Amino acid sequence: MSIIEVENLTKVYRVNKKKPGIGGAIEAMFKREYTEVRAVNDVSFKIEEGELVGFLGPNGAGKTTTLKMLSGILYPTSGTAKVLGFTPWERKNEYRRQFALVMGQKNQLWWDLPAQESLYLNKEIYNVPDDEYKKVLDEMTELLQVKKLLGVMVRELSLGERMKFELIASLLHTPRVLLLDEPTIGLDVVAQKNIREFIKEYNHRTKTTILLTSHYMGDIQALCDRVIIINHGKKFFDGGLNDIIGKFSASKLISLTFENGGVSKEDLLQFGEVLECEKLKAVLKVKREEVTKVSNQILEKWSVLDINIEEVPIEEIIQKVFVSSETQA
Amino acid sequence: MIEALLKGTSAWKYWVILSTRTQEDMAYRANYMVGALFRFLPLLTTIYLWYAVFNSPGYAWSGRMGKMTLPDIVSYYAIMFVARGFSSMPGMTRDISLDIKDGLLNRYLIRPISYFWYQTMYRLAHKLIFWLAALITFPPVFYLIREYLKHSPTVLEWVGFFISLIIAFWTGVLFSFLIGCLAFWFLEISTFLFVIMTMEFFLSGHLIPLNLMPSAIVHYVQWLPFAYEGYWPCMILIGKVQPDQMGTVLGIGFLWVGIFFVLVKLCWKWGTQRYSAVGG
Repeated sequence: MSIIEVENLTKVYRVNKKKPGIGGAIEAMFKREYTEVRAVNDVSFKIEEGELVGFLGPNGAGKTTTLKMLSGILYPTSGTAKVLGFTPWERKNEYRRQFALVMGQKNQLWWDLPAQESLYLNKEIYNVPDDEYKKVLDEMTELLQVKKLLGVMVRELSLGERMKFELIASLLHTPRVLLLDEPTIGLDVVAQKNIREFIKEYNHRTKTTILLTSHYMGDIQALCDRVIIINHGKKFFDGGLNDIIGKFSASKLISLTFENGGVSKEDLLQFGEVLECEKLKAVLKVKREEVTKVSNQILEKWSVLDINIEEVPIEEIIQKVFVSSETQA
Repeated sequence: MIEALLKGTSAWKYWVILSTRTQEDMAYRANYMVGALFRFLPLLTTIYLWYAVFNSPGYAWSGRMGKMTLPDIVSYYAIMFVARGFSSMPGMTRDISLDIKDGLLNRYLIRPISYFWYQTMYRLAHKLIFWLAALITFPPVFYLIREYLKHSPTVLEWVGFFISLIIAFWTGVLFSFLIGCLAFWFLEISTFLFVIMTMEFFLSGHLIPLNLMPSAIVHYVQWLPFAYEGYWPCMILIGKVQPDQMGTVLGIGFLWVGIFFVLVKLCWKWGTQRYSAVGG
């Protein structure tokens, strides 16, 4: 049985629509217009135990709404979901003890106390035995390098340090399902990398099922083999990260370093799109099926010191997927 | 001792919430000390005001205003201060409404705790801090006004008073929680709050003793839940509740607490179903 099973999940919000300006404000005092927004529209998917799945989509696509339904915060308008065999919005304590939701920067830490007090409170809320608490706390503070900060007031910690404690607070009870909503948002690259490595290691070690949303493709590339893409509330793609590249990227990039100068942009245009052309270096975007042929032709024609064939950056591909989903929506 | 008593039960986590909140309240020493030392000032100013009223030259001094003498009034306000120390829940309604409006409720909904009990423990911690400070500052104040505290309560009045304080606490918590839950339906409730708090201040007998109002009005307002937040504890301890009335007074108080418990449960159930978790 899958750990997460979502079937035809739909969430419709009723949103107040106000006309612009003071006139609109006065009119809204007497007569309100409402419009329905389908934040999540008939979404279905399954996730197996131990999987780490990326949940992607542009802003407002319905990712967070889906996570909120899976964590029992929101009631759906229709459809069903089972996580660990529980219906999340019934909010049974037995379920709440087995999952965690981490929402970037929405802290569960007490601002005016050292982090250790909030962690201890979570230990008691989740009923974690003393020895297990000590073990998990030791491990995590070590792994995230925040052991020395346990006694520091939360308000005096940096954003990255707070995020690390947020993660620890959410993982103290060793949840079987972890829902991560933008865990690296607002963090600098070093902190992003630390958190990313921690999640990878944690998933690997504990086999926790993780569903992760992020706008940083670095997170997705580093962590997820499988991605689910939604836009306008509808599921648009569900498969391997490599499958997206194959499906949505018709081109590859050929980076060249010439031995001698004199190769112009015009010379290269016959092979494909020229993205860069300097004295000795050039980058070409070439159709996937023509890569071998074009490479051979270039090597025959010019003296080439180095040639490198790469996939188009994932950001660009995902952007293409989003645009494609816009037209299909 | 508490650990031995509660650990292993579901009450233990709420005790830890209470203790954590107490620590947080004490984190700002200066704020705490100022609050602790000067909490009695409003009581002194109120007593002084009534002293001035009873001694004003234009006042046809009969020693009574309605059924109240000056010692009654001074005792009333001194006890009111104690009773409101149990029933007033500063900031509770606002905090709950903001948790709902700003989506901060999310962090409680996903954890195996009851938001109601969490909030109750949070306020109880605040009350403990208040009473800790009051133990130091109230005795000298009560000593200063000792000549006005004429009535010596009977055992029954003391028992009735302590029970009425329990009713006062629960009425305060449940009513504040209930009003906070209005944010599930209206999101912005600051104006509601202003109106309701003003009403509560008046109808609890905090502003003036309810029995100074026309008897036709007193007849009804004294049985509203607000009266249990201040008026009844005062009336019991200054000897204005007859022994045969005590059961009715306390019984109706418990009835209100029961009704509020049911309303809180229903509002929470319906409210969380329509909660939109915006921004959280």
